Amino acid sequence: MSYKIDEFDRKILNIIQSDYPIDSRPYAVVGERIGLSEDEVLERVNRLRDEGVIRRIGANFGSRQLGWRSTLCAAQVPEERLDDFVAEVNRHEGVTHNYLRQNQFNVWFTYIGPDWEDVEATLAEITERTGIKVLNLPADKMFKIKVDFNVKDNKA
Amino acid sequence: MPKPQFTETEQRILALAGDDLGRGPTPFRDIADAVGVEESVVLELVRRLKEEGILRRFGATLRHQKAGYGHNAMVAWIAGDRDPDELGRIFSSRPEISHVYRRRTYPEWPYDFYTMMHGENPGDCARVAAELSEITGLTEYTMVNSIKELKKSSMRYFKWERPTNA
Repeated sequence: MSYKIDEFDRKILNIIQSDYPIDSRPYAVVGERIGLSEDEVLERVNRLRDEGVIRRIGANFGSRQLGWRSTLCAAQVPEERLDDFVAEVNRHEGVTHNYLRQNQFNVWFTYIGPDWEDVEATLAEITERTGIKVLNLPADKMFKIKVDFNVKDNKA
Repeated sequence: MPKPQFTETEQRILALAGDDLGRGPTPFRDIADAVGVEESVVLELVRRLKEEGILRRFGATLRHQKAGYGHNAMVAWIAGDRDPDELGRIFSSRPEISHVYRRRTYPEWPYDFYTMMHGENPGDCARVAAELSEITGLTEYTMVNSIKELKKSSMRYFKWERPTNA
C-alpha cells in the first residue's frame, strides 16, 4: 500500500464505483452528497487515478447481455514453457484476466468472444500454436456476479 | 438472448464510454462533443442501457489490492448430486464471495462449483472455505491461490478511432 486514502476518498470511491452519477456534472453531484465542492472531488478522483487506486472509469458491459460468450480456461504448463504460453494467450484481446496459480493447472485465464465458434476456434488456435491442452470451462449457471467492493479502512 | 443492435452513432458513444472517461468535470459532454451529438443523447443512452442491464455497471474500477482487498482465492468444489440452487444460495449469501458459477467438468478436473473469495488478511479465504465446507457438507474442494497476475484488462466491445482535429 503506497498511497494512504482518507475518509473522503473512501466515500468518493464507494459512490463512484456503484452509483456514478449519470449527470452533466457528476462530481458536483458526488460533492453535494458528501459535503465537498466539485473541484475538491475532481481533484481527489484524478489523484486516485494517478496513484493507481482507480484503474479506469467508464462503462462495464455485460458480455452475455451484449450477446457475447465468455469462458474460464485452465492449462497445465511446464515451467520452461510458461513464458511462451503466456505470451500466446495474452496476445488475444478477448483474454481479459490471466493468473499464475498454485495448482497442477497453473495458468487460468478468461476469454470473451462474439460467439461460441470464436471461443472454440481461439482456444484451438492457442493449443495448436503451443501444443498445450486448454480446458474450456464455460459456466452453465451463474449465481452471483458482484463487481464493486466496499472500501474499508486500511489498517496500518 | 438476441444480440442488441446499435446505430453507428450509438456505437461511437459506447466506444468512448467503454474506454477511460476524461479527467475534466463534464465527461459526458466531452463524449458528446467528440461524437457530434447533444449531451442529452449520451446521458439518455447510458441511463437506458444501465436500466436494461446491458451496462452491468457504470463507474470506477479499482485495483483491489490497493483498496484493502489484497488476498483473493478461487475455491473450486465438487457438488456431486447436491441441489445446485441450494448451494448457489448458500455461497452467494457470503459477502466475502464475489462470483459463484457452476461450470463444465473434465475427467482430470471434476470440480463444478466455483467461488471467488476476497479477504483483507492472509488466511481469510481458507477460513471462509472451511466454514462453507462445514455448512454445505461438501468435503471435496480445492483452493486455487493466485501467485501472480499475468494480465488484467477491460474488454473493448465497441471500437472507434476518434478523429484528430486538424
